[in-house]
Amino acid sequence: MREEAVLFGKTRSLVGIITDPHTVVNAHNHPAIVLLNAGVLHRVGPNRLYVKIARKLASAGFVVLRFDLSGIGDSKARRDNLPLSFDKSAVSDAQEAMDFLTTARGVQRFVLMGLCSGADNAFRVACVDSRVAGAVLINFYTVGTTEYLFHSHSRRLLNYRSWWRLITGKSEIWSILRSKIAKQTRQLNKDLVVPSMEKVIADLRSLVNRGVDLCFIYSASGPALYNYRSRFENEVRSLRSHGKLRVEFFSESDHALTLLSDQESVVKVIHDWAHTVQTEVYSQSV
Amino acid sequence: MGDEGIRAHRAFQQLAVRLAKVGFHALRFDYYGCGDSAGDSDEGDINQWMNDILTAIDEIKDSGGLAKVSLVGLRLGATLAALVGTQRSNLESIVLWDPIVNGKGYIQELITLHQDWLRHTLPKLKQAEKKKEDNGRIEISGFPLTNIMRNGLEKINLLTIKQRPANHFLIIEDNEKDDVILLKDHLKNINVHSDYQYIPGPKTWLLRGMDGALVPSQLLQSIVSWISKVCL
Repeated sequence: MREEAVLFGKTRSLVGIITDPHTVVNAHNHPAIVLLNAGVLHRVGPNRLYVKIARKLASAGFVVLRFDLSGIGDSKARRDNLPLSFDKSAVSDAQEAMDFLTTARGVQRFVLMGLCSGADNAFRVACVDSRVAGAVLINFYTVGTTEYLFHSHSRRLLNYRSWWRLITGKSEIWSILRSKIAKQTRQLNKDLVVPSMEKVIADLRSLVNRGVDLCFIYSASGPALYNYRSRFENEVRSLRSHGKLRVEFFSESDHALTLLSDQESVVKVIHDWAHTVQTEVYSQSV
Repeated sequence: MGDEGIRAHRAFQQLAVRLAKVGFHALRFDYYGCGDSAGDSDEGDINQWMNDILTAIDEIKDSGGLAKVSLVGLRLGATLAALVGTQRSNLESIVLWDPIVNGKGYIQELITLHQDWLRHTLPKLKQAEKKKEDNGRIEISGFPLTNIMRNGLEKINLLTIKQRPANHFLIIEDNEKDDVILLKDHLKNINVHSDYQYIPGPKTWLLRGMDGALVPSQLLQSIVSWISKVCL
């Protein structure tokens, strides 16, 4: 395994680390892995999880790139005068990352991975770029529905400290009640740049029909799992019959899979899944 | 160190950009077993990290043809910078940003923080299961605390330093801590002049979640101004 810091993109303003395997096998058919930032955390990922994933996958023969999107970590904010929103610039940055890997390593197909907003961005890119052969989506999309807002506050309803804050007027629930829930829902979706659930489901179908391998990973103590269970579990279940879609649950883990045991488990799940995808891609190309 | 290092990454990137804008060469690096650097998270230790700082000093001196070097460190990084300064007599200046004065206290702070997080985040079943599987492995906010690291940290006490760490010395805090007052007194007692600045702000390295990577702009500007004043 060898690691190299790289600068790439149209203005060479994107910063990343390529982790290369000892032996590169048929770069033309073998997909490379690209990891996308989780929130505003830089390319090492929460708890250095992305470093662990990159090194494990490189040891299994993959070329892996972890990089910072524009304005995150070490990458500069975009200076190309495009009036892009974060979701659009993230797609553009990820496509530049794939262009770079094609030039630098001769790779033609890609598997995108990310946690939280990294999952959202991986999904967005997969929908618009046919070079994406697979994606690992960890705690994908938190949709700001009214039910979600209730869910996100429901644990506090069972907490005596929350009731004390409510009684003493210190609780934020007062401000929530004062505002209109519908307005807050719209704002949350706007902040998170979340499409409608109908669009997510349509895009998901389209990816499965295109033959993209997908691995959803959900941890329990996060709103993403709630969204999954309440909004598109049935859809995913029906698409799983196509055999291109895998769903893994970490039933008692936090959003960032913080515990070392959870990190070890998720790295193993991703490694095993990637091995399956690797085998499939080979069998298709032979 | 650990999660704190990840939270502080953007602030240090911005600090380096600001220092470069006023004419300084700036080098940022990750200790062994941290960030992008080689090694697993359980492979770092205090002696290795102090050697890493010495390697970084040599690297920037050699690559930039520079005679003078200043160190800026946050939390444990500040502490290690001060300790390296006592071994290396030719450092121009050192900035200690919220330094860890006592290693034992630091370990206790991190363990308490992690346990609070466990209690508030994970269900009881998982907490019990975690206790059972720990088998002596201690983890703090997503990172292992190995015995070698723990032993190294426990030996740290800035109140025992006897040499002047650098020609110029700044302690800067964004939250006032009692042991930093003790450190200031200690430095005075060993005839080390230190400047002190208090700039209130959020403890950026303690934030959880995906959005905890704030840049304390005013504090960074103060560091740049102070280094410019003493070094240019």
